[in-house]
Amino acid sequence: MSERRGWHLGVALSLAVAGIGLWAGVRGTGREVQAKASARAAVASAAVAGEVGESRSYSDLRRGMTGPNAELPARWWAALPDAELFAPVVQSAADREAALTRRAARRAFDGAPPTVPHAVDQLGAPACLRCHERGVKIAQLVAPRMSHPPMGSCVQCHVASEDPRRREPGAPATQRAATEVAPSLPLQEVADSAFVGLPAPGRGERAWPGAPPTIPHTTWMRERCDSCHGVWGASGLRSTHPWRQSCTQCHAPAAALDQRPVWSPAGAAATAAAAPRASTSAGAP
Amino acid sequence: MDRREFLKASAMATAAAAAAQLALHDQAAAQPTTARQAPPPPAPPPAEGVRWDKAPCRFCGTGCHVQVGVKAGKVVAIAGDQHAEVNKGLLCVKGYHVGLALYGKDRLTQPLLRQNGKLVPITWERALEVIADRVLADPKGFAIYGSGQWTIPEGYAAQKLIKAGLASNQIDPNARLCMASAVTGFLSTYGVDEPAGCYDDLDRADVVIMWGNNPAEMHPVLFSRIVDRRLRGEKVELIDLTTRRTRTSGFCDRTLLFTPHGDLAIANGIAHLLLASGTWDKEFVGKFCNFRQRTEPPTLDGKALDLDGYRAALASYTPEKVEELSGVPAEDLRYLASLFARRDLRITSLWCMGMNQHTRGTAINDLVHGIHLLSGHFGRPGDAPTSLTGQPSACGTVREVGTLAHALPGGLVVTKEEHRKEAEALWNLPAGRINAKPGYHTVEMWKRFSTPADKGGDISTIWVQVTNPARTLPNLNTLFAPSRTLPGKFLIVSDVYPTATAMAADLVLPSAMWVEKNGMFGNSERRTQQWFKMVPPPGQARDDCWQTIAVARKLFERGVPGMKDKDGKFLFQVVDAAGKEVPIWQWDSYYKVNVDEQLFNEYRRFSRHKHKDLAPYSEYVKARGLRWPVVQTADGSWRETRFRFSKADDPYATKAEIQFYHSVTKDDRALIWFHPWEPPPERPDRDYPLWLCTGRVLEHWHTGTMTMRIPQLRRAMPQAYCEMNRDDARALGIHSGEVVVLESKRGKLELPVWLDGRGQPPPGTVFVPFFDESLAINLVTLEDYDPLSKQPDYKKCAVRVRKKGAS
Repeated sequence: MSERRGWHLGVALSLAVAGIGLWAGVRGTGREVQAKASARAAVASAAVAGEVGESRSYSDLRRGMTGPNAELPARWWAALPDAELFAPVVQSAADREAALTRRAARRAFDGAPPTVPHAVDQLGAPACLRCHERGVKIAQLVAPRMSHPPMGSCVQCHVASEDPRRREPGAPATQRAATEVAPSLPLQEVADSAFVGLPAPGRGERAWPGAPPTIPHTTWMRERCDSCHGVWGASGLRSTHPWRQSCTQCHAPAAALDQRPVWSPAGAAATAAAAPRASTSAGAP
Repeated sequence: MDRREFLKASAMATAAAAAAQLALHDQAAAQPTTARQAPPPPAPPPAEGVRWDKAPCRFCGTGCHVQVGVKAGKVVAIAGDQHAEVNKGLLCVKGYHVGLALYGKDRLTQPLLRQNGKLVPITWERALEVIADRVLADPKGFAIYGSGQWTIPEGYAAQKLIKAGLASNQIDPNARLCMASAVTGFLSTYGVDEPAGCYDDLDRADVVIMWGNNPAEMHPVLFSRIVDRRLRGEKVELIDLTTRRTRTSGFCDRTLLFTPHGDLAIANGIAHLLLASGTWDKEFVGKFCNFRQRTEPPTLDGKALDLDGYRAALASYTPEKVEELSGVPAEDLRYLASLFARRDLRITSLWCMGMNQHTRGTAINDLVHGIHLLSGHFGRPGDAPTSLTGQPSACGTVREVGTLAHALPGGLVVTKEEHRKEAEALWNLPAGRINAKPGYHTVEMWKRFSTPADKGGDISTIWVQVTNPARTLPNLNTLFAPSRTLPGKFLIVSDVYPTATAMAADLVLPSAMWVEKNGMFGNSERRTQQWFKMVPPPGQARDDCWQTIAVARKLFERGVPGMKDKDGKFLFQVVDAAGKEVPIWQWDSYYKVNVDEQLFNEYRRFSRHKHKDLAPYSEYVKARGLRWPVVQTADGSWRETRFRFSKADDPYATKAEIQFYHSVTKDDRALIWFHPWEPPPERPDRDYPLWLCTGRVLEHWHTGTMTMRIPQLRRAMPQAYCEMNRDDARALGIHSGEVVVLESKRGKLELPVWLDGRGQPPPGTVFVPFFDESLAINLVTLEDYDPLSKQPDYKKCAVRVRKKGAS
């Protein structure tokens, strides 16, 4: 009996040791992987966005999804809009007005690149495309899909909508110090702008009630209709039929808005004759 | 039922209706439900009443074309011009907001004269009389200080007034502070100014090397033209040679930090390695190049050097020695040389103020051209040493019209008799009218303006147009401030806003700007651009060109002989289509003819001399700019030139595949110069231990007189700051956001620190942008300049920084 008890004890002990070892090992691996992952994240953020592919280690491959469920998170993500795709779209003039007002607040005029309502990395190439290339919706927060094809230097056109300078904790607020370089009058405070920008366009024209409306704005840099009119578009701007993908099949853009040359002999003659800026053929003195 | 409930109920009703339609596949489902509820009247097309026209952007030297939307006499919108080759429909944030530059609420709208210390409104007639009085009192002491923002006709009119009318040559532009060293670099290397390549090189280059250049912020449209190639799957390697990490560095494959002035050593180091490894292009050099070294005092011609002499001069620039001088590791230098050694790669070098604002600016420009020539990276699309410019018409108005103290239009110079004769013939002047003695360059002009007359300060009046020297001159306490208290010094400023210079002036003239007038610009790639007046200027604001001509006419009426040509006609005589003289000096007659067209067509006759041929004005009306030489073809059409000196494209290169037809040595060869590394005039020491670099930011252009009045730009970057290295800040106990005192031997300034902001200077370096008029960093900078180009160095001087309140 005592031998049998000893055997049980031995088995229990070795199981316990194995169990602890496994637990510690798994924990350790997790920590290592975490540490590696954060180091990699740092490297990846330093790498040029979209330029350098991240190299993957064997541990990445092991942790990466394989098998039948590999695409699950992506599919689940992609399925998000599907849930709303066929939902009835409710539109009201008030919603439209509110959406246009919000839109105008970030633009100097219709067609100006919007300013960025969140902090942006000021040094280097910010990772705008991560969210804005395809668009992201998290709860009620939408990072709209960009309205034009991806470009490399987003901050060339889209600047912060407020002072980008970060203050560190404990630092006092900056005071604006003015210099005097012998101006006989004090420098005037910089005045406000009297600029009144082109407002957002009205609705497109319809040939008859029920006809698809024409596109009332330029489509240059606004080729991707779903940026505003897609399933994540603001209420009031959202299309009633976001599942349709080939928008310009039914909605005609206007050549006049899109800078496409529209040539007519009469028009060319009229431009040439416009006074007082006309070219005169008089010779130089 | 309150409003909220009503909205809710109506929303539910529409939702139900929409759902029903979906279920029934109602044909009307595609129609927004609101339209069915209350059919609105058909909306007018939004563009109705908006007239669109082309213009080049008002800001940097890239020369993007914009479409300007005008409604009811005001600019209401801007769009990138899809027909423009420069920008292909894209702009940067400044370009998209350029139309707002017209509408700051404090536009100057009437002439102002200082009386008893105050600026008081006066009439235009009185203002013109005041200027004429100043000229007549001291014609030799009257100078015009102009700008690379002058339109071509504006610069041409000022040039003609000073050189043909007053025969004094006292005219110089702010572009002296901006690209004079690029000019001397081109002249000494090729014998003729301006880049041989063009922006098309950026689409083809395999490697782009940026020499002290931050195009992600300063030339954003060109930079994205390069980096967007990567998104299309093309490979382009970007190398950043810089004295601090910038936004550009984030896109680059390699960022090589060098100590200020180290660029001279780097360029010599590359040449040394090319020679040592035998990888230089012997065939290219043998056919198309000569070697050159400088003389004392330095000249643009230098003296001849043979290959052995060149090799010997470079012998000491080993990678290890270069590492010591520049801080760039020897292995990185070897890597750079290995790129130049490869003929299969196409390499474009870009530079702007980093190389030009340099006390050895001509030297570093020569050296960079030199390594391109030595390695044969020249003359194929994508193989180009290309300098960029900071102002929209630094090339067009300053370099081509020659609004410099020594120059005449079209690359002629006042010091050569045959050039003066040519200009006198074209201007129909009596022989000997043009003065052979150059006027004062910018720093000298302002130094003399800030010196009492009895101590050699022989400039008594300066008329400033389109620039803000009270903020952009270096060492303001020496070059600008004294003039404002000295008796007998009179400052005239033509501007659109009450800038620091205008507020310090004795006479202020309100100007029209950009599309408030006809204009022409010339950009960095030899492209001449034209636009028409689209909106009226505010109040009594008038064109700078009109102001110049009106003053000339006033002098003509007062009997100044120089205002007449040799037939007794007014210098700026303009006739209408019927051949009748139009009194364009009267404002209400100025737009009865196209003065721009007449002045340009007169000016273009100068452009043949250096084969910078310009087409007639009417050709530019049709085009989004044309790159000179623009040569008429057999069928009568006008053809622009993309790649100069290259037989494949340049109609004037006929003898060999590359022909430097304005060669200094008159043998169709370009010059490869040797210049030694030399220490800068001021280096950090015990008392002033830090390097100071100054520069620009994306949102603001120059001193912010326009961009700081554009809400979107001002909000994004509201004031100047001091960038520091985090370790330096920690050592001084400075947090980001705290105010510091930044001080040099010349002046001091208080401003907040921004750590890890737009840039990251290495230890021992600080950076301050100069866009903020109320935080004038040029109180601190150094006025030392390059001996040939006379361009000052804003990129390096010694300063110290302490926390405000700390001793």
